Amino acid sequence: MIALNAVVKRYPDGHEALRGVTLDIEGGEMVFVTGRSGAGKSTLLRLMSGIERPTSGALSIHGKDITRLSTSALARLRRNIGLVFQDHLLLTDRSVEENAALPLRIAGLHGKELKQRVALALEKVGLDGQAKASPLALSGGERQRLCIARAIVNRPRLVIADEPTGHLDKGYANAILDIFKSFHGAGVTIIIAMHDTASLPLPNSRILSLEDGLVSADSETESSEAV
Amino acid sequence: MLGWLLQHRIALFRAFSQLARQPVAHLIGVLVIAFALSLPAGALRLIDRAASLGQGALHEPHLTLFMKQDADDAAVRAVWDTLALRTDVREFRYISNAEALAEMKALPGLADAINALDRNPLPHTFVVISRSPAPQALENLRAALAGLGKVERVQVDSAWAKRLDALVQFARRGAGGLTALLAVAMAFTVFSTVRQQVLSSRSEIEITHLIGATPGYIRRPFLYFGILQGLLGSLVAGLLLWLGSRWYNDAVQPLSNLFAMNLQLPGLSLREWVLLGVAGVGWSWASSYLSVSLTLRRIAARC
Repeated sequence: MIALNAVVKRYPDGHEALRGVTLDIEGGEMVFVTGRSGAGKSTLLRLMSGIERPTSGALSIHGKDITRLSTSALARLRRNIGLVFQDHLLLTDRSVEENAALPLRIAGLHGKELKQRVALALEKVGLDGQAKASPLALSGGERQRLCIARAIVNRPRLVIADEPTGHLDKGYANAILDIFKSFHGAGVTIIIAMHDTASLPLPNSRILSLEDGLVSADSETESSEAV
Repeated sequence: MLGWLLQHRIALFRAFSQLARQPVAHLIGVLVIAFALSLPAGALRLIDRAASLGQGALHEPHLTLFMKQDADDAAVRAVWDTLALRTDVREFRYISNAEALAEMKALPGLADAINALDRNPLPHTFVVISRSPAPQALENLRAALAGLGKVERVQVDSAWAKRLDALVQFARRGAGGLTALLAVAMAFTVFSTVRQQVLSSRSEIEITHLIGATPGYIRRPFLYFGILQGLLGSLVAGLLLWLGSRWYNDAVQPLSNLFAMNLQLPGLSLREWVLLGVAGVGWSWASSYLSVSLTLRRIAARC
């Protein structure tokens, strides 16, 4: 599903966030990307989301080499990826359901099907009773759930989340992880960046550890206990 | 296809909403566009009217041939015969000095003065109409006639029209400069208005960009906004031109009557309306496109 080969990402200021990462992520995997701040987690996720392009190396998503795609083609590719951001990135002047509907509107969906899909996505994250509310009226955990609803409303085969539990207490963080687990159970590939996985019960999953822009460890968890 | 059309409808609706949200602020932008269009357009209409008056005179190219005081009937006959034979002369009219004097006497207040003269001071005259209005042809004819015996002077009467034509050309250049200046002002107005719109929608742009909006999708509402502004500006410009024409026509009516010339400006033709629309919408669209593209590039670089 995602293949990186000797991927380097260097920013204009000269900082090298990734220094030759090679890895494959297959469909249906649940992958946790861990590492300290500045290890390159967010950069890796932005590359795997098609938000940024590598400076060198090869990166393909859904079999498409993103270095060869036009800006518009890359944007269309991103529609097939559900993105969850640590800072939620919600439109505060729109209602909960309008925020959740945004990817569908971008994809050109409308009418009854749009409403049904939005209602279903909100129901999956437990926000079906707050469809008309403003995101400003939601708690931090609810906002993150709305962000997840927006990510899955387009029924993507791949969901990428950057520190989705970063601002949440343990109770909310577990609830968010449960939502991801349920999607994984439905066959969706999940990639989550977390700087701290020690305190959370992880499902059977793959742990990619990053250090100074390189993969330092690539392991599997077999229990649902904390690692 | 339906989805694509729907996206355009949504973008258009958003552009309307933007206009409706701050009508006074956007009205100023619309007025700037309207003035930027109507001022040069009005100036060009006036210049074209003046040019058409001048062209009318150029298309009736007159020369006046004055004989010498001592020219006798034989000299007049010789000139007559020459004019009759020349192929570059369309028609001519002979005015004898006696006839001219009689005409002058008929003018109020001049009769006594003329009667006091001991001799007729007026020359025999021919009014000649050239077949060609071309300046060179007129000059050739003038030179040829000036060389005839007992001819004092040949005057090209369309010289004033030539001068008017030169003035019109000069005014056209001035109007061209004015048009360029106002076009820059109009582009700047649309550019900065759209830039403000883009910057105020920055978070929405960033989010939609991240979740899969193409540059075209992001640009669309801002381009529609620019197009709407241009369209409204064109309509207001047309209205201003119509009002301006009415005011001018009322003001110029006494002059038209006095000089027996049609100095009136006609109403805006369909072609002029279309030109105004194309200029307003096209220029606004181009300015919006430039503005939104540059601003988006800056935002994308920071995403």
